[in-house]
Amino acid sequence: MSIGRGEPASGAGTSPAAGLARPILEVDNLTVTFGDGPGSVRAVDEVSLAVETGDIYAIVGESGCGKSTLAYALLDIIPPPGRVTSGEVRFKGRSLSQMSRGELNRVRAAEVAMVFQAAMNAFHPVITIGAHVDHTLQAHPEVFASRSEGREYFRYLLNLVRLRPERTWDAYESQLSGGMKQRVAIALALVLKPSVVVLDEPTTALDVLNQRLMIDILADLHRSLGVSIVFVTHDLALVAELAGRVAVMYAGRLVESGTVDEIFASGGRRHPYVTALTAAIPTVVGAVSDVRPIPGEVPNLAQLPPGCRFSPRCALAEPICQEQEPALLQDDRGHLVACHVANRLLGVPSK
Amino acid sequence: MSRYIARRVVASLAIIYIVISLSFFIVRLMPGNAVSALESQLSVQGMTTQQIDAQVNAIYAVTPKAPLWRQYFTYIGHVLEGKLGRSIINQSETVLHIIANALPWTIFIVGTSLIISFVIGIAIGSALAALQHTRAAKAVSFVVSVLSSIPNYLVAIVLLYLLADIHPIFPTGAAYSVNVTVGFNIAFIGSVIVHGVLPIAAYVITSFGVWALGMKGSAVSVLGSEYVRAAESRGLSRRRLTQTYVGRNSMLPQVTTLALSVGFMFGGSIFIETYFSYPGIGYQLDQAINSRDYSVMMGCFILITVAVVVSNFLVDLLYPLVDPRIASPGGARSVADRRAEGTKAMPVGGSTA
Ligand SMILES: Nc1ncnc2c1ncn2[C@@H]1O[C@H](COP(=O)(O)OP(=O)(O)OP(=O)(O)O)[C@@H](O)[C@H]1O
Ligand SMILES: [Mg+2]
Repeated sequence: MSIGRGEPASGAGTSPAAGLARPILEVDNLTVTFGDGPGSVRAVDEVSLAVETGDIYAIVGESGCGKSTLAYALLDIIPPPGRVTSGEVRFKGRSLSQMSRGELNRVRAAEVAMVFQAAMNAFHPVITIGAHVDHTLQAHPEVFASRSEGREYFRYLLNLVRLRPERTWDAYESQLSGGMKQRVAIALALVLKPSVVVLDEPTTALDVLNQRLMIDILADLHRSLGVSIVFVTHDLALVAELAGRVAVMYAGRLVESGTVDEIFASGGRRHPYVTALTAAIPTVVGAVSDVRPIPGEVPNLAQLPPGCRFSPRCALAEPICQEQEPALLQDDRGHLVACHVANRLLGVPSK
Repeated sequence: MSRYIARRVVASLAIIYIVISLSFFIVRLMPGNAVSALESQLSVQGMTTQQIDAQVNAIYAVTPKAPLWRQYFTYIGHVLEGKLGRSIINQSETVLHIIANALPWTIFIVGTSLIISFVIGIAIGSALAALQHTRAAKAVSFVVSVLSSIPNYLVAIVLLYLLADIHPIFPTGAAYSVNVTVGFNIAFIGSVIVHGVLPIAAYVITSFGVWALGMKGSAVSVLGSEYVRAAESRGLSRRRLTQTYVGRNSMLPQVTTLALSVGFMFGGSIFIETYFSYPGIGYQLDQAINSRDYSVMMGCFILITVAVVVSNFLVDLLYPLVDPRIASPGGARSVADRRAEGTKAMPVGGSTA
């Protein structure tokens, strides 16, 4: 019934039914460290997860918990001074760290594409959108028979994200609104027909109407292109609406992962942080007084509390929580929780 | 676009006009002003009032007895015709002639220095940015900052002492040796080059660091920007990344600064030209200031102003071609904002160096 946190790659995202196919993207015990020596921080700390073909996978957490860093690691574009200090990311079973630069460049965008958190800043300000597309097509001549075929496909994608192709091609980023840039960034990420697209905070910078539009577009793209989607967010409403599987991060560590139903079902085995998170989101129908913000603040990654990182803010904290880092334990459905209390209440043995 | 150009033309002409007017009023209206000083000096020499007026007119291009407004318009008219008057110290020389003789030397010495320090600085700055997290780059950065903060007179003195005094390899001053005939011959050209080495070296040593640090700063900020990482995430080749995505944008502020420095170049470099007794505009300006030769000073200031304003205008004109945000309706930001964005856009060198 339980699996230790040493080898979750085989189990983390795999539901028993889908056990046959290999996950398309696996993060195995990954640690990403910024800097070295006493001032260094581990922005991603022994995180494991697995994305199946066709999944919509959400990575959730508060600001600064390492979501973007994890997303960068999926394409091996962690900005220096950050680097992978243990573990690895595998695409279709091949470790990114073992690929040559050329091989890696072929995987980037053509297999795993990324839409950046600040899509507003994701375009070179002095070249046109069309030039961005051409450069991308040029770097991956293997994808399309001809350049014009690639351009034609980009036009098709622009229609899918509800933009007018003829207006967009010759535009500079400064001529597009934030919402338009976000959608162009998505179309550009999809132009090489990747099998996975990683979106970092796809709705954060948008107003409510554009958020709605973005959700529709993403659901649409998933349906019509069959692309697997990994998205990073702190918006639980977006998760509930879009995602199939969820991983929740706290201060660099994975604290819970499972299906959307498992995460949102009240009464199930849940990490107290996730319970608090769901209580902290206002619902349209609920009264404002029902919203309970989480007391305290996110710990500084350079000065982590001993034991469980959430324990200083946790209503259920016990002495053991301040002493021992809880293990990420799995039940028979693959639902993982890292909490001494929750795991004990449900009778999951802690090792 | 044409409205943009028209606005720039009007603004440039207005600035030139204001500076010319200021130079008139400063000379004419300063307490104990230069014109009456000259008048009393000439009357001591026993000239008649008519002779004095004629002489003052020749030197300052103003007629002292006329009403002020008429003096002003006569002066403006003269300046527009290129009549800048005569030197007070050497009254047989016109200011225009002095400037015309000095300008080629200044353009040669400061222009060459500017190009060399720009090229070296950009190369070092790009390398420092590309290797920013290595120990070697940090060490080189430190050395470059130290070099660029050594006072320039110290560099000049050390160079003169080591390479002209102890080991007399290079001459201590002048633009060419008295033994050669001026003209297009090997001896003359060789002499000009030998005389140029020390001033150019001094200039380059003290100013390449400013370019290097400026380039490093803008390249590091471009390297850290989201769109470069985004381009990397699309698997673009290293060459495409460095040339189109990093290089072009980090060069923009440097090129702007270079264009402005070219404007200041016409003012010469007082530091280089006086330490190496090099007969350029900076040298003439320094002499004029020391001997209170107001008419030469005014001529130099007008030259510098016009050169700076014109080069500014050219930058404004060319910028929309390299940066679409300036010309496009969506990009309401002005060139000044773009400059401020990169690094400090202080012109390097010029008469202030
Ligand atoms: N370039 C860097 N240098 C040093 N530390 C960094 C750097 N980038 C990120 N970090 C560290 O990594 C941690 C995680 O950063 P990351 O950007 O992944 O957070 P995030 O979860 O995406 O936050 P947000 O929701 O605000 O985007 C930060 O708290 C910071 O301490
Ligand atoms: Mg982020």
